[in-house]
Amino acid sequence: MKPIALNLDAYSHKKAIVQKLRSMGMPTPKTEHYRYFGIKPILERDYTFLPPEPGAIEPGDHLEIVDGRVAQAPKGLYIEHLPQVRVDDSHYDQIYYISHLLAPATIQIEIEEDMELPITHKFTQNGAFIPYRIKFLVHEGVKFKIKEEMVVVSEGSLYFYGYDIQIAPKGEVRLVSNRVTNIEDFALFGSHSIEVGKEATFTLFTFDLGNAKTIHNYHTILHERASHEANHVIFAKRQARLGNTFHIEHRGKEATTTQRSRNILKDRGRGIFDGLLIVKNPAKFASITQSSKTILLNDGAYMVSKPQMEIYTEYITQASHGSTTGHLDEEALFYLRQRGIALEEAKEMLVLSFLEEIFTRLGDEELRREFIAIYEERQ
Amino acid sequence: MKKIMEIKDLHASINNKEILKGIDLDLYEGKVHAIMGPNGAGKSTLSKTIVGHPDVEVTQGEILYKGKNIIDMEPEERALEGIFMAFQHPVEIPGVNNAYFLRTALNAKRKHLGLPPLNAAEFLRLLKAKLKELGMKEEMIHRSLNEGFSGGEKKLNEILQMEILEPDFVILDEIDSGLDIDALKRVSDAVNKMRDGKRTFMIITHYRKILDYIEPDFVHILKDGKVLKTGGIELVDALEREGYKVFGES
Repeated sequence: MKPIALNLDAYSHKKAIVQKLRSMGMPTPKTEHYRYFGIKPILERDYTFLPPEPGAIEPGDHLEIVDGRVAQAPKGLYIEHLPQVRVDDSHYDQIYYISHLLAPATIQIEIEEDMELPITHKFTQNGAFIPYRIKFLVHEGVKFKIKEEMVVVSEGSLYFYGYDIQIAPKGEVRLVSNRVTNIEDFALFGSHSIEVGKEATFTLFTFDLGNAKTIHNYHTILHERASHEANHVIFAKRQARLGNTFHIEHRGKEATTTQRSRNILKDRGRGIFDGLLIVKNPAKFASITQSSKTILLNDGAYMVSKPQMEIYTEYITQASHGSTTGHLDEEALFYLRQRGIALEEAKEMLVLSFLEEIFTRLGDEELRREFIAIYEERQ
Repeated sequence: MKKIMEIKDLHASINNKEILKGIDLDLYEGKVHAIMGPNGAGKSTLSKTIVGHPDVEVTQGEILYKGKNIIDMEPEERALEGIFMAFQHPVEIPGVNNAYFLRTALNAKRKHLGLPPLNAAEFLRLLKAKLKELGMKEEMIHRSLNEGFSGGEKKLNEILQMEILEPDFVILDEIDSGLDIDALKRVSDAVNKMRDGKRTFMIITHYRKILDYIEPDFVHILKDGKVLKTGGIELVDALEREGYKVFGES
């Protein structure tokens, strides 16, 4: 099956999604958020379509999803597999709708009390095309922490996945995604929709490392006095293309968004940061900041950085955005070398210092050490 | 007297502009050499050339250090061989912890010398002792390298690094610039304490004051990329009286 050659007529039972896709059209190399990703060779390839069917779930200490199927879950976690769920009707990404269309069921989990949930995604099939979706409904005032990691052994495959997260008023969700994809011939499209209720908080940390082709598209809606902090790290090497794109909509007044992306690119690695912050007319007194900083470790590396804002109100509390791209500071590098530190080690120290702001905000020493170990392995 | 460094007919350029135009200079083990000269004389370029700064291109001549030409050596190799420069403007590196950096540097040196690395606890004991000696606050252990340090703190941090790394050949590149009298005295005291008859110091300065605290064995006057005159402290006296014109043209 070629994902680009999708026959929409075969999905008449998901009428709203089909209509949406018909109006948007299929993604093409000219689709703005895929413009620099090189979508064509990935979507025109022929894969074995393996839609994940729900099966037996083993008890475990974390949620484990193998090729889109829940294989393991902590006891007491109530998991439903729903053939149809309410979808975000204003997502900008066609893949969001395609993944909802093709996934036989959405994995839906209600979070009714404070909890931490580690999630492992395993990608094991070769030459496969697998779509799946996960939905979290987070109840009012509940604190929910997700720590997500990925294990990729699959080659020549394409996975569509994504979260729909609805955070009720005063809820708090913190999602830490450690996305290491070390297989060059592997593509992952994450298409996410997050609705942050009144006075709710959504904090996101993403760490994208590796050699694969992965892109994550986030549509985030903020209601009154909602708060969103997003921190991203990209380390792309060889022929990797790693990207994050966003539409973050302020729909309620006095909401806050702070977004940081720190990108390190090596060899012919490509990074994408394409973030659009939209403040709608009734969403007065918004505070929005965006910053993307990139270090290119050599000349063949390439960064696409597009921090953007659209503000439709005259009343704004704070708005700032910026983007920088450069090489490692030569004077700093020399200073370290003058103290006897070898060139490669000095470079690594500077790269890690560049990420320190994100690690400090993460406040998780164990994860920081994990990341450094992964980074060192990837050198 | 034993020479630790011999600089022979050294020509060097930065951005294709020749700055050093034939430096000949002998530096002796255990001695303090002061290098003075007007702005643009090539003092800082000389120090950058010795430590292997990538901006400097050596076009002619050689630098023999402990009998070996170091021109083609990488900066870190020169450092591991015992050449240390206290920077005029130490760079700020946010996110690199001061103590982590120093331990990495020290353990690189220990590895080079065939010694086992110091673990975190051993290093911390050493660091705290040195901080106390220099009258520095312990909080700097946890701070990022030079970030937010005052001018004086940065210079003291350079001296701290020198004390920890125990180099054989120390270049102090205008270490006195921007220091108040108290800080200058602390820096000078630390340098004097490290004068052990083996370690060599090359002090680059515009001012006499530091030479009142750290008495030089030799004074070299640089002008227009060459060594114009070599002598003792009397050269500084003449300089104070009449300025560089007393040494005539090169």
